[in-house]
Amino acid sequence: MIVLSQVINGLILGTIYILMALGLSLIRGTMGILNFAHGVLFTLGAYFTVKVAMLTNFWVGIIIGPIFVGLVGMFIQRFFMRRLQGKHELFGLLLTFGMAYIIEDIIKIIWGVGGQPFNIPPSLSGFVNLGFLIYPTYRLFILGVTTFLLLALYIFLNKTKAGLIIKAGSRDLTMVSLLGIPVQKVFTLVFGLGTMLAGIAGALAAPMWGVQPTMGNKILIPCFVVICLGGMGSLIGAVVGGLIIGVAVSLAILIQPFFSDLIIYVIMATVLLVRPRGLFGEVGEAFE
Amino acid sequence: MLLKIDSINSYYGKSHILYDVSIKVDRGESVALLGRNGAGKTTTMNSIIGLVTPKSGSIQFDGKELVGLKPDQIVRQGISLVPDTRRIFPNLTVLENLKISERKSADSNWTISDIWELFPELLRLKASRGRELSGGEQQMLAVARSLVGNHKMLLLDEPFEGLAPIIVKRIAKTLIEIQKTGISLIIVEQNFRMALEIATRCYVMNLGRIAFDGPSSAITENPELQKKLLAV
Ligand SMILES: Nc1ncnc2c1ncn2[C@@H]1O[C@H](COP(=O)(O)OP(=O)(O)OP(=O)(O)O)[C@@H](O)[C@H]1O
Ligand SMILES: [Mg+2]
Repeated sequence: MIVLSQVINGLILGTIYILMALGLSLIRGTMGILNFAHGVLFTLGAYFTVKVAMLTNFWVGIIIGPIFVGLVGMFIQRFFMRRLQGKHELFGLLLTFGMAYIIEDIIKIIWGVGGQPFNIPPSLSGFVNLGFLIYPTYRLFILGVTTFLLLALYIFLNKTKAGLIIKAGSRDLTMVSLLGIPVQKVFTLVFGLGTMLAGIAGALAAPMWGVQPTMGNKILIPCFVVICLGGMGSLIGAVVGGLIIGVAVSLAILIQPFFSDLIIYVIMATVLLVRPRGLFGEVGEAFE
Repeated sequence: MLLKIDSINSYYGKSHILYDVSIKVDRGESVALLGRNGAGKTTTMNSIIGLVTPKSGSIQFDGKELVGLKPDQIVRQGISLVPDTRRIFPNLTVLENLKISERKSADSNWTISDIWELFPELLRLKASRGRELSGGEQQMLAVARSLVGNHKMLLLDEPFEGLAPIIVKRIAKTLIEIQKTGISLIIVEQNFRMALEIATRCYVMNLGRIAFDGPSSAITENPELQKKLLAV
């Protein structure tokens, strides 16, 4: 029974990884950079949600909070990253690295280094009897929200013009510009979307993990692993990779807590040795 | 005058590729740009569309200076490049490739259904991914993509290269139809015969310079000139 509930906990953890990994993957696929600020934007999502929820209610908070994070992302892209246009991609990566520290400090200055209380509404705070297991309602809520978001993202990428442009841009940005589409605007959109996904992950994780300035620091590495494992630029890869890593981490904790850090690298190394492009990675490595 | 290229000089890094290239194209006119391998034809196209920025000279399109604008800004003026490598998005379907290329303008009103009429084979392949298409199908889609952008002028870089003779005839026929609707064309070719059947006037490049310009007949009727400027 405890193993089963840990597996389900792992799936929930996996959904958080998936949201993070998808944002990272979208940004990398289009803009060619790994966003090192992704972890702190996760934290920012939690803070924005808590603060908006205090002024209004939980439901408004969890919708508006991540949107604010997306706007912050768009702002960063529009006013900072665009200045690096034409320079080596390494500069973009360094910029996000610096942003991570700056935003973390801003959070500390505004809200202090301590934790923030965050109460979920009574309708989500109970338990549900699944028949074989009694399980916290809030965690099932996370599963539901993530499933919905994945479907929405899939539809956006495949059925809307903006989504198709993002997919096209992951293969050939120059050709996108030759269609008369401003590439920098696509970048702003993608960075906003990717960071909003990080914000959603932070908002969802907040009641489980506690809201404090460093809550996002440890999540980035497992998410990089999820992307490598699932295959660069693959949507389905991020989903499967996230679930595998989530479950593996949860089960490892049962055996020995420090195994949970080790196991993700063992899994990644094993898969990459057999299949260097990851489980679902294309040889071309771009978004699908 | 729709396009007026005036004495441009273009470089790749430090190597000087185009020397004082000047080309003029009237509204509704089709012009061929010929020349041997490495003569600078693609570089000229890239200079017009903004992938290469000329260091000196000017390019006026419909009265507006293009030098210094970014490719997407240039394309939005109503000029479109069909690149030599076609650059079909491999992860999008034929229909999706067209959808993201659609652009409304006052210049013409090509729609995706017009494309299905023009190239029925693309309609049959509408759900196939770009990567699954043959060379000829990719070329048709590349031209179609520029058409639904509703531009004033299309730049076609080696539209016939590597295609079976029957497909070459199809594309050539289509280009003539396109020109009849009032769209101007620049057709870049090494294989000059087909290009000159479409174009009324031509420029021949050699070593980064315009070595000849005149009516198409001046080349087709002059084997000596062909030998001097175009023989491999
Ligand atoms: N990216 C590049 N960097 C440096 N030199 C280049 C580059 N592309 C082309 N060149 C050089 O510029 C010159 C002109 O090339 P260009 O591609 O414009 O010729 P072309 O007339 O289109 O030839 P082809 O018929 O082979 O397509 C050639 O000498 C070529 O080697
Ligand atoms: Mg060429």
